Amino acid sequence: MMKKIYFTLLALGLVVTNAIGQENQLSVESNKGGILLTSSEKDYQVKFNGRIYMDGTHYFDDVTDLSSDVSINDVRLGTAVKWGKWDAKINVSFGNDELKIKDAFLRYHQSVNSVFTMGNFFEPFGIETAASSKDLRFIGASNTSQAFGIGRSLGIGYTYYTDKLYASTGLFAGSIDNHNKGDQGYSTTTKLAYTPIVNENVTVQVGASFSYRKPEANGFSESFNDDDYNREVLLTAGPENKFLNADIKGAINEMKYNFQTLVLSKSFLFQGEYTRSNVTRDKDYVTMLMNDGPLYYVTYAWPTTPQDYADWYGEMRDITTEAYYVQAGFLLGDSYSYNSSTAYVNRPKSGSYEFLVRYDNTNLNDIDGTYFNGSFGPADEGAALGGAGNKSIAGGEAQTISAAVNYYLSNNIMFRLNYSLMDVDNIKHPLDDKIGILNARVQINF
Amino acid sequence: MNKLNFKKALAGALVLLSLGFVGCENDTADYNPFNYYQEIPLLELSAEAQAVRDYVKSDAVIAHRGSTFWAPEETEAAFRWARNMGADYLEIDLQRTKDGFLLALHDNNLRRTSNIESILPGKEDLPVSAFTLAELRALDAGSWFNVAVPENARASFENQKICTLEEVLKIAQGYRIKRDVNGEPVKLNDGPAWEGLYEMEIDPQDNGNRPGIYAETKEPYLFGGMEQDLADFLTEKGWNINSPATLAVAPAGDEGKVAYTNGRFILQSFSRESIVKLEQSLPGVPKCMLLWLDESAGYVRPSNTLESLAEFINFSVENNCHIAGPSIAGKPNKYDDLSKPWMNEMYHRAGMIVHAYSFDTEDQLRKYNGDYFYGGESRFDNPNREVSGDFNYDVNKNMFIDGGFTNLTDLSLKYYNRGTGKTAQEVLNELGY
Repeated sequence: MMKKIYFTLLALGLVVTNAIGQENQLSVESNKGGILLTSSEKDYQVKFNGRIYMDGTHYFDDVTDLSSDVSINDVRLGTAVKWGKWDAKINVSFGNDELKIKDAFLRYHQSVNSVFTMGNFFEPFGIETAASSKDLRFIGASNTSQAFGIGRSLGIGYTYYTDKLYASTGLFAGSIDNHNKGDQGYSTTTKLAYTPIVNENVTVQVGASFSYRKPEANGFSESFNDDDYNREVLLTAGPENKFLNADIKGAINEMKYNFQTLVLSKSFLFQGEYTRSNVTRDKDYVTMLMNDGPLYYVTYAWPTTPQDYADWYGEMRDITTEAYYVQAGFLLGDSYSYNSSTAYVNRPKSGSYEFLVRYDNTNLNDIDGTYFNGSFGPADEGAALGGAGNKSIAGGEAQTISAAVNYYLSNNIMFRLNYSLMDVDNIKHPLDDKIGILNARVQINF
Repeated sequence: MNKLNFKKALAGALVLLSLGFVGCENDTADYNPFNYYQEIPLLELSAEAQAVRDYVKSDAVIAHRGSTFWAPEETEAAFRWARNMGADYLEIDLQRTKDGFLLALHDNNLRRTSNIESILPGKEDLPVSAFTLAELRALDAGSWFNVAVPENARASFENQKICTLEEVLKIAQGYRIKRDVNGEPVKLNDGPAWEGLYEMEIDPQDNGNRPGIYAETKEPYLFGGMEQDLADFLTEKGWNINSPATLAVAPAGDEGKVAYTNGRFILQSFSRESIVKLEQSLPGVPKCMLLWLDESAGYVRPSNTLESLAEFINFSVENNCHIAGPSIAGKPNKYDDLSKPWMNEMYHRAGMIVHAYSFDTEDQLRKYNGDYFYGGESRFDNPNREVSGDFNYDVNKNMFIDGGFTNLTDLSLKYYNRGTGKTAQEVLNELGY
C-alpha cells in the first residue's frame, strides 16, 4: 500500500515539473561522466544514471558443489531530479533477468546538511550495507554485512551531518519485495558516527547503529486467523548462501546493534564493523493447544498444558548471533578522503590502484542442545534419545580472509579482482572445510 | 600516473581475469557417496567389542519371526519349524504384557495376527501392554495365517497361541508346549488365578538343532524398563552370559551348538534410546543396530545418506553395537537398500559385521552375497571364486553381508550348502502340523 502511495506522489511530481520545466531553458553538461541537465536558474536539474556489473566468479569448492559462472550481475538505469530544495531519485535494477526497484525516494533538503527522505532507501545501519555496492572496497559486502546488514526499506528518515558528526534515523515499513499476506513488518533504525579527528593527514571515525525490527509476515494462517505465527528472520551469507544460513522461525522482534570504525591516514585505510543480532521468538502454544486438544497414548494424555509443547519440542528462546570484520587498504596514486555527507570515503581518483585485505568472522550458531542426524535434541542425551526436540539455530560459522585489487580507470570505469579463502564449519555440510573464491568485476557507472 | 595506457590496462585486466580459469584443475571430486565413503571419518569398535562380535556364528541363518511364510509368525509352530529346519537363530520381537510377561510379537496391536476383534471387540487397536498374559492366551494367533497365506494353510495352525519369551527359549533347547489329547495347551498352575503360562515338555520331534535367540527391543516409551527386565529374565533363565553362575550349561552332545555359546542371545533394535539402555543392562552381549531409511532424525536420511550413515555407524561404535542390520531391496517387501557395497564397506570399516533383513528370494541371497560380481558363482560353491568384470571397485568380501534375517530358512540353508535337504513342508509334516 505504501509503495503505491510513494510512486503516485513521485509520478505526480514528475508530471508537474515537466509542465513547469517546459517553460525553462535547460543546459546540458557532463558531470563526472554522466549527463546533467540544468535549468538556467539552476534550481531544476535532471541527471541520468546507470550501472553495469560484469562479473566472473570461480569457486574452488570443497565437497558441496558451487556454481562458478560469468554473468551480468547488475544493470541499473535511473534518474535523479531536483527542484529547488526537493529532489527525487529512481533507480531500477535489471540484474540476472530480475526487475528490482532500488533507490526510489523523495528528499527535502532543509539545508545543505539536513535532509528528510521518504521512499525506498538505505536504512542507516553500519558502513557496508548503508552504502551503495559501487562504493564498497570489495566486490559485494563482507559475510558480516551480508548476514546482518539491512539494505533498503520503505520509510521516512532524517539525516543531519557536520564535518564531525553524522546522525541519521528512520522509521521503516518493511521491504519493497515483500508480497506476502499479513501485516508488514516495521523497523526503526538510527546511526550515529562521530569523527573527532578529520583533517588532511588523518581521519578517525567511530560510530554505532541500532535497529529495532518486527519481521515481515509470512502469510496468514487460516486455522489461527493470525499473521504473527511464522514471521522469520533469515540471516544468510557467503557463496550461494549455503554455509552461512540461519533461518530463525517464530520471530517476534529483532534488535540489531552495530559498531563501526574508520581510520584514514593519507594512503592507508582501516575499517571495521561488529554486528550483533538478538531475535526474540515465541509460539502461540495456547491457541495450538485449543486447536489440537490432548491425544490419548494408551496410559496418558498429551499435551495437557501449553508448556508441554515447549518441553517436548524445545523452548523458543532468544537467539543471539554476531559477526565482525576488519579490513586494511592501501591506495596507490591518491589519498583517502572522507565524505561527511555519507560518513564514508570518496571514490579514489582516476588512475589509482587500491590494495586491500580483510578478515571476517561470522557466527550464525546459537546452540544449546545435542545434534544427531539432522536435528537437535535437549542437552541431556537421555532426553534427546527419548525424542524431545530443541530449538537451537545452527547457521554455521566461517572465518574468511580476502584480498582485493581495484583499478580505478576513471570516474566511471573500474576493475576489481578479489580472492577469498573461507574456512567453514557448518553442521549441515560436515565435509566442507575450506572454500576458495576468485571473482573479478568490471564496474561501469555514470 | 597521469597518462593512461589503455592497452596496458586492458591487457592487465584480462590477465587478472584469466587467472581464475587458468588456475583451476579439477580440485575436488564431485560430492557423492562413491567418492567419499572411504574417507568419511568413522570410529572403530574396540578390541573388547570385536571379541564380543566374534561370539556370533559366521554366515548366520536367522529365522525371521520363525517364518512369515510357512507358518503363523512368532508362534510355537513357526519356531519349532525354524529349529528343525536348521536355523542358527530364532528371531523375535519383544513386547511385555500388563502383568510383566515378556512376549514374542511384532505389531503394535493384535489386529493382524489374532482374532481379537471377535474375542475382545473394541480393543483391537490397543497394544500388548494393555492386556494380561491370561487375556492374550484366549486369542487364536494362527487362523489369520490360513486366510492370509492360503497356499500354506494347515488346519493344525488354528488356535496357535502367542508365544512368551520363555517358550521361545525352551523351544530353542528342544522343548515344545505340552498339549492334551484335544491339542489344547496344558495350563501351568491352572485355577482362577491362572497367570497364563503353559507346561512344556521335551519335544519328541526335536532333531537336535539348538539355535540361539535374536531379540528386538522396541522404543522404550512403549515398554519402559524393558531392557533391565530382559536382563533379569535372561539371568534367571540361564541365558545371560554376564551371569555365569546361572548360565545354562550344554547337556551332553549339545556342546558348541549356538544355544550354548557366548553368541546364544543377540540383541537388536531400531531405537537408539533402547540401544543405550541395552548397553547399560546387558553389556558385552552381541548387539545389532537396525537401520531403516526415512527422512527423520531417528533413521538414515535419504537426503543425506552418506553423512547420516556415518553418524549412525559412529553412534553404534560408541555404544558397542557389533552388528549392522540394514534393509535390503527386492520383492516382496521392496525396502530401501541400505546394504549397498559401499555401505557394507563402511560397516566393515568400523569393525562391525552385517546382518541384513530380510531375505525372501534366491536372487536376493545371491545379490547380497556378491555372486553377481563373480559371474554368478556363490562362495559356498567355490570359496576361491574370482571377480568377473571391471567394476571400478576393489571387489572384496567387505562389500557383502555376513548373515541375513530370512523368511525362508530352507532357502537360505540350501544356498549356504547346509541343512538336511528336507523341504519346508516335510519338516512341518514331521512336526505334526
